[in-house]
Amino acid sequence: MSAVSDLVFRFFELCTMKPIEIRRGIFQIQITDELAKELDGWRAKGGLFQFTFDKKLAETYGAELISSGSYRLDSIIQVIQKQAIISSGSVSHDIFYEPVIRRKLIEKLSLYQPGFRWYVLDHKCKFGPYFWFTLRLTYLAYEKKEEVRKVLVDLSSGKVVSHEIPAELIEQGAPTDQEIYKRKLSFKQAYRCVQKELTNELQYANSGWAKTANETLMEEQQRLEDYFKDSPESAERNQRITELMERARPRVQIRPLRGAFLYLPKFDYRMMQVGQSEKVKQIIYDPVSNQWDFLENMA
Amino acid sequence: MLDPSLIIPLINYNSQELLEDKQEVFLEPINMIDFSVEFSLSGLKKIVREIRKKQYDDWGWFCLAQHADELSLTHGFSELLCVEHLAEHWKHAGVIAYPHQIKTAERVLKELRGQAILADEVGLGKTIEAGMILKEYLLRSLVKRVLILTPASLCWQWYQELYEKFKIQPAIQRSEWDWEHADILIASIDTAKREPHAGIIRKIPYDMLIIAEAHKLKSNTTASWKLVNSLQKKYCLMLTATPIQNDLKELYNLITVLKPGQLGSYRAFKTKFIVDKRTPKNPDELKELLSGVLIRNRRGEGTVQFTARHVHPIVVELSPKERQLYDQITKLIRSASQLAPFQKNILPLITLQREVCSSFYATGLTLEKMYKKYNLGEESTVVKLMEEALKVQTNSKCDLLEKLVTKIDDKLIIFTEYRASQEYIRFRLEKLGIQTMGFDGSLSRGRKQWIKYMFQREGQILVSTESGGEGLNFQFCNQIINYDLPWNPMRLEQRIGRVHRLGQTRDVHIYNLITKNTIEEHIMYLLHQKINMFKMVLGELDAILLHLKIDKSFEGQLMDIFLKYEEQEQIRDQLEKLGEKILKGRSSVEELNWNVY
Repeated sequence: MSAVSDLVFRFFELCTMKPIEIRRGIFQIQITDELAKELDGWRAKGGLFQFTFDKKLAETYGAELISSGSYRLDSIIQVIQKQAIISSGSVSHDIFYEPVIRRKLIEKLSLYQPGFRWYVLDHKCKFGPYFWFTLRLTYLAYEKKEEVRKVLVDLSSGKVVSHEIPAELIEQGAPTDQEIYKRKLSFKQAYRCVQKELTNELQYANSGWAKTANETLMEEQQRLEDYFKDSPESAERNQRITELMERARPRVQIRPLRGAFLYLPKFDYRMMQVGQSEKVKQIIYDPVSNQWDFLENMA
Repeated sequence: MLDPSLIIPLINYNSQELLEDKQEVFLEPINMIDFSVEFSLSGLKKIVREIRKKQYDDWGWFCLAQHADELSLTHGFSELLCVEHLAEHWKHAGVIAYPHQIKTAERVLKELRGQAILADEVGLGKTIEAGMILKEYLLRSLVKRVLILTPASLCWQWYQELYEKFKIQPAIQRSEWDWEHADILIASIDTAKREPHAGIIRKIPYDMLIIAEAHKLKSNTTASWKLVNSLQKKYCLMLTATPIQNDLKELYNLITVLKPGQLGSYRAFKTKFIVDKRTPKNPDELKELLSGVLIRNRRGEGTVQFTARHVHPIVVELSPKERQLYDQITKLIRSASQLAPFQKNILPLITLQREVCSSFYATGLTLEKMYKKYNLGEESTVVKLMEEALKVQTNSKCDLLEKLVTKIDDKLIIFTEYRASQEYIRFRLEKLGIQTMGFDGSLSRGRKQWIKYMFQREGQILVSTESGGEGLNFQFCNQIINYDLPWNPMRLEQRIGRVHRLGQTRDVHIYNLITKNTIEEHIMYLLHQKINMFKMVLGELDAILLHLKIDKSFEGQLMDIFLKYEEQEQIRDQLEKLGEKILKGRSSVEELNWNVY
């Protein structure tokens, strides 16, 4: 199934509607007035909607073609994009096999502090609070190119996590408050972390597009300066320069489109460190990034 | 059923939210070596607002929305989005995007960077090109605030073009309030240049400015030029078929208002490119410079071939009684033109003289109005003629029309200038058992669309006044009957233009009903035999009349001739002279087909 048809079927499914395939590749669905208004504006009325994803079938049977860039796809996309600005989800501990984690952790600790032996006293399954930003990066000059970035910020440490969480592992909703580590970052602080991370990244990214844009911009600016050389500070000259900058200045605009509180599993171990003396230490293991740390360090 | 809680309806937005969404705010930009990075504050606020509401949306919707975000991305100007986006709509609306139009839109986006003069020859669809470019920028969210300045008479036409062909919903400026509150606004340039309007719009930063009939900005001393020059505009499109009418300076002025500096200072331009005002120097170099800002498509190979026009003049002989009445009314008009009320305003007499060729029913009603308005006595000639006109039972023209209509086995549009004639024609045809549809200026937009739709689907005859058909296209029909002739050839061309335009696939047949030995016959001689207007390409006559500056005074000039000269030969001589003038204008316009673009 293509990305387009997948999106369309999932959309109808979430609207609790099911298209019927009346002929191979031709689908029919009864659109309600309510949905028709969302899709086509307040004047639209519901009715039987026949569609296909195949251009030839559309021509043969007169069904509406839904393809990349088509009006119908764009209208569905617009309705979808208005939904779910904020959501929350969690990844269950069950997808990790705890005894293996425990064994590996003890092995790692033994390597980390060779003079000690480690025993697990007990462990708790807890969740780390994260915020998952979906951002649109727009590379703007004379042309416009866009990309979507998903950035995960650990709300207890401020770390920006680069790896992507497979959507199928995520379940709707949040665990209870007792199960979640306390978050230390406000939402705005988290956004600042994202800003910092992306700015760093962009600094080292390929900026060929911006260089090309700047060359053209310079040419145009020079032409304007030559034209206004007798009145270099005139309001008209300033206005034209502003317009030129607005039109051609290379810039990257970053817009958060939506976000989700994501609760990722953490294993909280209370361990006995046995050496010349015995100490109880609390270690938190993050199975997603495969990292562990002592709680005192984390604090 | 759709769960309402899952869909966020538009009406849930409060005004504050709408205001914030309208203007995106960014945090202080972070400057890098080659570019800057701007983080959106509005996007952040939107999320914070949702977090505060603590209404977390369904995870399924969230994932789908992320998927939709990916699919909605734009990837440069590699291909036009609007063609695919509007394909289904164009199929229903009967719009065909011609290759030259697509190419023009692509060039404006990629090479001219949104600043262009669209100078296609008339009839090649400049408005479609502008609509495509605008839609493209809108789809890419590069443009939000748009101002379209046109002559007042074209505002409505622009509205329809954008709405019907591009699904763009503009507003037409009616009050001062509109300037600041409509995102896409169509306004009369004459209104815009006046205060307080000019003051308001100068403060608004427009993303795109579109100027129709841009040749009106040919002089940099006019208020229109000054206004357009002072507007804040990111992208700008200017539409004109005649970027130069008389003088190369006009071209300079036009380009300078669009892209200052493109042709350098006027002094430099003059030295480098002008021999005299009509002769360019270094045409190749000038052409090169112009190609960076001006696109001109010409008729012929690679653009559009129009179908042929076939003109069928049909002469109607008046019955003796009709002839007598016609002569009496003409006499009355001649004598009335000397009276005080008509010396200042000759329009009622022009109307009467035109109506007398259309139908006596319409003439009778106009005489009645004159009688009431000018308090004419019961014994006056007007009253007598009025009574006689209303009593005329036969109508030779309509008799002939009935015969003609029964012969044409296709959809056809009958044009008349008068509502009264329209009613009369419909009455006569319906009496014969022929179903007709009426179309006039009093109908609402929705009703017009509905009638157009019904006519296309199952109608056979549409009886329309000119104002009724304005701005509507009937390419699906190729037969028109001019029941009466408008005196202004532009109006006649507009009638023909309803069916003979881009999208017409069959030859067009034009039947002109001409009453013998009346003014109509003279006009027909002038338009058909003398200047051969029916064979002129769409819009050519417009350019000629504009060039001769007689576009608005044409009817007045004809009336002067008819009032001044009684003898048929004298009238013919005068019309011959007027025809010569138009023909001269035509060759002069052709000469001015500058070889620089």
